[in-house]
Amino acid sequence: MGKRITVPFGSQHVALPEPIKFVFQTENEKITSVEVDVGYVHRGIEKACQTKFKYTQVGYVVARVCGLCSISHTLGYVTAVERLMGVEVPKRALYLRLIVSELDRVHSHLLAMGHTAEVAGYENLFMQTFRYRETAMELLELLTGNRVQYDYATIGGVNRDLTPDVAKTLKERLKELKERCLWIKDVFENDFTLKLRWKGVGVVTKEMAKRFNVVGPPARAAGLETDCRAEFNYLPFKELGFKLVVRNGGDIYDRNLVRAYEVINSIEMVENALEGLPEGDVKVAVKGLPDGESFVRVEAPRGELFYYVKGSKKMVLDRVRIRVPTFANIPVMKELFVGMDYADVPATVISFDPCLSCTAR
Amino acid sequence: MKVEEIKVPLRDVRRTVKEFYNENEWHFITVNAVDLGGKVELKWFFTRYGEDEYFRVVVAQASYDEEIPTLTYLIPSAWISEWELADLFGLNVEGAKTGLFLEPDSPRAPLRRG
Amino acid sequence: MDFKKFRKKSPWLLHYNTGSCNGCDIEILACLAPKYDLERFGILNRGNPKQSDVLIVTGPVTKRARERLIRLYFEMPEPKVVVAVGACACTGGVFRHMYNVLNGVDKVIPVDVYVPGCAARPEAIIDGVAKALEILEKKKKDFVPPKVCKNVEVKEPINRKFLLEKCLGVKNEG
Repeated sequence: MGKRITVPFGSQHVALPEPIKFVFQTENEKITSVEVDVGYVHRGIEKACQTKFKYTQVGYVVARVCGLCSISHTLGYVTAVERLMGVEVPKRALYLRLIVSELDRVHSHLLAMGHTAEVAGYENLFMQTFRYRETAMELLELLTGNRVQYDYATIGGVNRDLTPDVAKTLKERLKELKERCLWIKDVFENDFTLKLRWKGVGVVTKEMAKRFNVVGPPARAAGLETDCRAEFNYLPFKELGFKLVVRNGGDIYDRNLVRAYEVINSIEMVENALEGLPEGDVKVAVKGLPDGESFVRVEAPRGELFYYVKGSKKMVLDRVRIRVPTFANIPVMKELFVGMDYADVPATVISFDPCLSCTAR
Repeated sequence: MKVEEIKVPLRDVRRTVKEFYNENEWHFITVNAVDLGGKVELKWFFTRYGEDEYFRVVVAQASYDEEIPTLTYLIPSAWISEWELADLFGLNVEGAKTGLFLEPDSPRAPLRRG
Repeated sequence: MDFKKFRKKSPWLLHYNTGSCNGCDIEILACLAPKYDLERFGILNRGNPKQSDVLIVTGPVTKRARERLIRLYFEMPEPKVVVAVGACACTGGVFRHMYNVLNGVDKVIPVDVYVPGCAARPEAIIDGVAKALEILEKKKKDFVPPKVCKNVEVKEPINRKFLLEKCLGVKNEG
């Protein structure tokens, strides 16, 4: 029997960019029970999508659910509505969507990796990762016109075409970005200090991942082969060289490596897409109103994103339901902390890359 | 897209899910409710690992006051979706607490129509 | 020791997210990173309200975040400045009139600098913080340190929640 101490973590904490609150009951550094509060950023977006906004506007509203995976949210919604209305999207638009979606994944994964490095006390690597992330941000700005909220995809296509100049610059700078990402991957894979800090910490086993329905990089790091890019054809991933990254450790080190390998794969896919970009329109006109229901699974940077859309021939939809990846990962986080040292908590939380704006909506 | 819909009465939901659910094969996505005015339509979404565009949906209807059975005995991660239902729809889910998202001064059951 | 001198040279930031979409938060992080480098002004991001001079708020203030925001504001030492970053922190933006939202930071605490944009660009955030430092300078000149009062006799034990409710009450009336 040791001394019992209650340790609150959050809602405002230096390791967290967003408000989430954990209350840990500890007994001599070992955690005995956890309570979690995720509702700090609940705004009521689902309600507003069903009452305030027309179905053509909702795509831009759901982008504001989360700034990091804004294109994934838009893609999920737009794909769902296109399937409802039977819209045939031009191939060039699909390729452009894929380019933006994968570049978004690059910058989101680099952010998560840099953040884990900072929490491990490796500020140098944090700064370096963020410097390289800026390249991805610049490319996105070049392509879409904005750094964070792209508003790129729309029902029936995309809002902005790719000019030959931009394509040329993109190709040149992607080489540079790839080299840098390979360097980052190398550091995260081989650095002695990082291995010492992260190996064997916060392990999610394969059984646990299956039991708690874990999604995204944490699941793939645990050896569970699940990726919506392979399981749902919303964009032409398979013809552009998509590779499923799976590792078997399940600890913080492996989660970061999954991200690092996915970054490289994403850059390769973007290169392939730019190489074989089809000619043609980027947008088709859409007629009619959505009727019926459809569901879509999209792979956001953090994992599986699920959209349920129901309409009944009106401008305003009946129901928009968003199930985000972090929301699915909260139960396993809660389970994982029991029996862990308190000192490992910040690194573990950040290695799941929690996105609370998504979770609470 | 392949969708397999299973319509069951509310009290049989847990038995139906138990018959096919196996954690090595099935992935539980979420539980969703749609307001039909006076009652709600509940949908439990499942998919198979590694299968292309496949959903299995368990559908049931419930009135606002009826007790909705929980699936946490079979799927331990289901609690968070069920608490969300209890909070945002004001439904009576077995074992759920309110206050996941809403504050004391927020409107009650905001996702109901009307 | 003369702390005022150091305060001028190195103001510290406190960042709190009250329900934004994360876009502005990552832009603030990008500001602190090498490309934009807010740290060349001596600015450091430390998550401690008791040592901070500038409070950066993003998001339209949800009902649950309101109480924490007020508490953070009161925990910061005088003089202090508040910067509202992003369209939703200024007016509510796209989240205006949603049921769990209070439409902007200035409904809850006084704001000195507004930085618009969805999401606000790093250049705009740097400009906003630089403006905030000017205001901080001005506030410091006008600042009269409170006189040391006699010890007030408190009948009941001091309760943070009670004090907070009192402050909230005053705010809501005024």
